[in-house]
Amino acid sequence: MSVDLQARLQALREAFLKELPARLAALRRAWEGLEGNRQGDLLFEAHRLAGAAGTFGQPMLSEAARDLEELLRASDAPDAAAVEAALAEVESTALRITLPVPEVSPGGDLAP
Amino acid sequence: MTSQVPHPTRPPLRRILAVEDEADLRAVLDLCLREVGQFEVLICSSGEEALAQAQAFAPDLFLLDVMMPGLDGPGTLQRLRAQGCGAPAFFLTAKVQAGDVAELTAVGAAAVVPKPFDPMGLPDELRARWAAL
Repeated sequence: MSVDLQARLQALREAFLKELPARLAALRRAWEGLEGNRQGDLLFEAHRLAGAAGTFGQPMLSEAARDLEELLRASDAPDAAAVEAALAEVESTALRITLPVPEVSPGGDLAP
Repeated sequence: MTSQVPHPTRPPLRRILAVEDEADLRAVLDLCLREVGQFEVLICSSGEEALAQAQAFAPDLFLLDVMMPGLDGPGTLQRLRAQGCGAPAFFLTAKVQAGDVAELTAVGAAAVVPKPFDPMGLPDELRARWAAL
């Protein structure tokens, strides 16, 4: 792959990460159900995120979104606490990948 | 250019009309199909847009996202067929289980490509599935 293509793909990956907060907000909004079909809207957003995240190099986020999607698909009345936990997992996974990697200090090892 | 031997009655895959509602995925599809795959590409943001453009663009292949607001992938394909657009259609979907593939095949999918797709690998995957039709 040419350097130019790699750079353009990288730019698209970064754009995806920049848009993540808006996607997470859409998940939350759907779950809060202000616009009606709470489960259907959340399923739709989770499905989109599962599809997009993998393409943009975030397989763990894709998996977390897929778990949420499957939970919603499995029942017409999924357990609210389970949905909340799966949604929280998506959010924390997203947070982990968007936070800068912490620096490991050479002196930071645990004492024996 | 592909090194695959074309099917005797099927020319090599050149023109693809893709439908994807998400802007960031449209951008990556454009990059991977046009630049990596060297296809002639038209990317539409909705089924309605595809219906308006399909006849003029005359694609070899439709690549349709399944879950879209408004007209979804299967609905788009049904209306494309009603318009007389007969090119094979591949569906792109994150929901790929055996039952789903059967369901999508029943509504006219020639192949089902799983999401997430690898942007660099998608052109080869499409060519392989095209060759297998």
